[in-house]
Amino acid sequence: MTRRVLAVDDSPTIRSMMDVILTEAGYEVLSAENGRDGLGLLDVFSFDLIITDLNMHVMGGLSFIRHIRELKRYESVPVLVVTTEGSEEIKELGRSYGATGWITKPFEPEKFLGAVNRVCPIEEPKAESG
Amino acid sequence: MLELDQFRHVYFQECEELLGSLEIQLMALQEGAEADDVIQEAFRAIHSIKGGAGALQFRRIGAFAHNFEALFDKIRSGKTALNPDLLILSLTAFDMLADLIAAEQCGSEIKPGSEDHISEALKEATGNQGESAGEDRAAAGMAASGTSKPVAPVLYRIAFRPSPDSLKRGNEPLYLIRALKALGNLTVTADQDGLPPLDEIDPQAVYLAWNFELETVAGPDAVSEIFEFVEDDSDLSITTPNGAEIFDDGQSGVSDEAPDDGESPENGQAGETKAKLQGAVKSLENSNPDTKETSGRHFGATSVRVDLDRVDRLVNMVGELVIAYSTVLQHVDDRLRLTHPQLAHELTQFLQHTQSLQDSVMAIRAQPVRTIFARMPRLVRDLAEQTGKRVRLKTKGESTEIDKTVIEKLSDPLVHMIRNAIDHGIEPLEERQALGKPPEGTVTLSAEQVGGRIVIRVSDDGHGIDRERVRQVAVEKNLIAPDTNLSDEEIENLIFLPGFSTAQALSDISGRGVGMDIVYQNIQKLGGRVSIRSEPGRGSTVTLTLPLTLAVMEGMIVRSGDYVYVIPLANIIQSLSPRPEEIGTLPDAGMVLRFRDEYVKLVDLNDAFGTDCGAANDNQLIIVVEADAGRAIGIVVEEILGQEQVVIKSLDENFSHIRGIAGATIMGDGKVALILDVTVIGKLGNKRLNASTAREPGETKLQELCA
Repeated sequence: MTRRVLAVDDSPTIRSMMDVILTEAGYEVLSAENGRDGLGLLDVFSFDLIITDLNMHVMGGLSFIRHIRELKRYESVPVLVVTTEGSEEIKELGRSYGATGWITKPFEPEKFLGAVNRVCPIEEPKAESG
Repeated sequence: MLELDQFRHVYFQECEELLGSLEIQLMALQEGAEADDVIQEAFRAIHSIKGGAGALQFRRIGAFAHNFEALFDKIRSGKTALNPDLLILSLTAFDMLADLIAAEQCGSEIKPGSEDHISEALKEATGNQGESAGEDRAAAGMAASGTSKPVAPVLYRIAFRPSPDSLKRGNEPLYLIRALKALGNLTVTADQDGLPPLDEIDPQAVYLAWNFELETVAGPDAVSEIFEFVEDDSDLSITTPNGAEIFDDGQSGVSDEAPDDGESPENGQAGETKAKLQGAVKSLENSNPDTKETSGRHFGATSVRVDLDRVDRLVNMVGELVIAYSTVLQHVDDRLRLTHPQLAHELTQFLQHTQSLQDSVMAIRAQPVRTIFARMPRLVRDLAEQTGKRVRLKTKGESTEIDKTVIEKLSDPLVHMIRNAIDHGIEPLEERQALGKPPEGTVTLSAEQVGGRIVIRVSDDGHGIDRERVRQVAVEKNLIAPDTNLSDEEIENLIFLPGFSTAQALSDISGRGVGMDIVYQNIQKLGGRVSIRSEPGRGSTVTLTLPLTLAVMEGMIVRSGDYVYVIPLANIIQSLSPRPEEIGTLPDAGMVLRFRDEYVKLVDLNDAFGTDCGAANDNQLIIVVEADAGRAIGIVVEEILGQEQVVIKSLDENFSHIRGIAGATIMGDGKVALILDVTVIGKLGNKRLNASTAREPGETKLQELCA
């Protein structure tokens, strides 16, 4: 089962990096440059994971998360917040809006995938075969 | 391993936009704007530049942007007030940042440490003086990687009771167990004590707790990282066999805790946290212009990034379509209109659609002149500083749109004109005061669309042009005869003559003039015109008139011999059929035409291009064009075929450059017509432009081209 990820960030650089990292890891990735466009995609597609920046034009990350959590389909879909500072305040704030976890920018690809893997691993691991 | 190089292109493109936006915000601040969203926008631009730099490991950019960002963070949160000094610092930092990015992009080297003094000043302004370079680096994303891992496996004991509602927030404990398992040997014991009776079970809640024994070579960081997202709201403890506790949430172990903690945060400490959070939310929400969706500032929000090449291709194809249409049109005559009225009607529709398609496509490449106007305030500030004058720049009509290809070429001439206005137009402070003028000089830069052309004006309120001096120089330089009768306007426009501004004494002239011929040539290359008007003591205005695009041009189609040429309509003064007595010969100029009480040099295209077919033609027509500033020449042709909008094609791709030919176009009948470069033709006069004897190496002969 392919996992589909929505990556939302206003920086084209970060978007394309997330896209490449996740696609190479086997995820299917769609991206948007702000929360409003992200919501549009949520409406049309279904996603297993949402990754979003906080500080964006048009609709920032926090409002985006609030809107996501108001959607029945996405009530408990993991949402990771991408933050630059990774300060406790921001993390707590994100959580209070319903974020699942966070990724600190600039991210190393392995750490990034590690965080993704903890909330939305790519596939069911096969039963131990010794 | 992720190949970072693949993101360079998109990053530098992003930087270009971000720097553009940042500069606009800084200029707005300089103009006195105090709106929060201006500061916020500046912060965001720096923030994004830093973010990308960190991701791509451009360390210098990242470290520098970090300090710059910190300042704007302080300003946007109101902890630091923006003052003129900080603004100047920001502008300096902006320049440095742009330089660092450009250097990274081109692979050129900026001396290490050359940004340090600005960094220090930024830190000082932010109050982060103590921050070490190490912290800079960490902030810029240079994690001190490679925490030494123990070689021998270590046994961790982990007690984990997730929050009951952790699933609701998307945290699936199962995935965490899986991630733990990936680290080494894992023994799992589930604690089912928290399970309620079956009929009370909420399928979305987590009731289980786990005890793990993990034997792994992974370091403690890697182990605790697994629980990063849940450690705050679960009961978690991680210990090593020697008893060292690497993580404890202070909630003493796993058991005897009510399973529904965290559900009622309404009082006590929780209430306090909430208040704090609300404050933080407010500040972040303020910084998040969510609610400003309807405001006019939508930078990239509704745009698509398209490679310029693709747009150019589209423009070309539409150009071809227009040509194809005119080909079709040539077959529509009155008889056809009578016999097939419906077809004729459809063709009219076709024409309308084709034209609006062309307009729409051209609009894709159009850009507001703001993109270049925005660079000028800094230029003015720098120049004012250099010259010790006080100058204010006013801009008007920044949202006027011109084709991107024109915009790119407009920047240098504009810089030149503004430099001239400040260097030579605006008087020194004392002089202005003595004259009773306001001490601060004003330079006005304006743009507007007039018909199918863009008019850009640079005016100053300086002392205007010293006409006597200009005239004198022109005579000295043999540019005009001493007894030439010239109007004030004509005298002023002498400064555009090539050679005028090479005069040594010019920088001493109390007028303007340095390099104005350069401006003129550049603008003319764009198919534009330049003129200047000046009022002694009151100032001067330079007016540029430009086509909206460089892709199509209005031209007069003429024939000479076997060749068809296009003369840019912008250059044409008059076309006439001369009476024999109007044509004469001057010893040093060859054939001349008497035109408006002046002698105008005549250029025969057949002679000029060496395409003489030998057949003398008595029915000569002369098109009088403006070749150089104010100087006319007459182009002798045999027939005028009409006036048309033509799509300009470059010849240089397929043929080497031909002197006197600016490009080519394909006519409705599929034939090639050559677009004349009248400036060059005017300069070379009757010398053969393309005679075989005078050919430059690699130059193409006209006959080869149209053969």
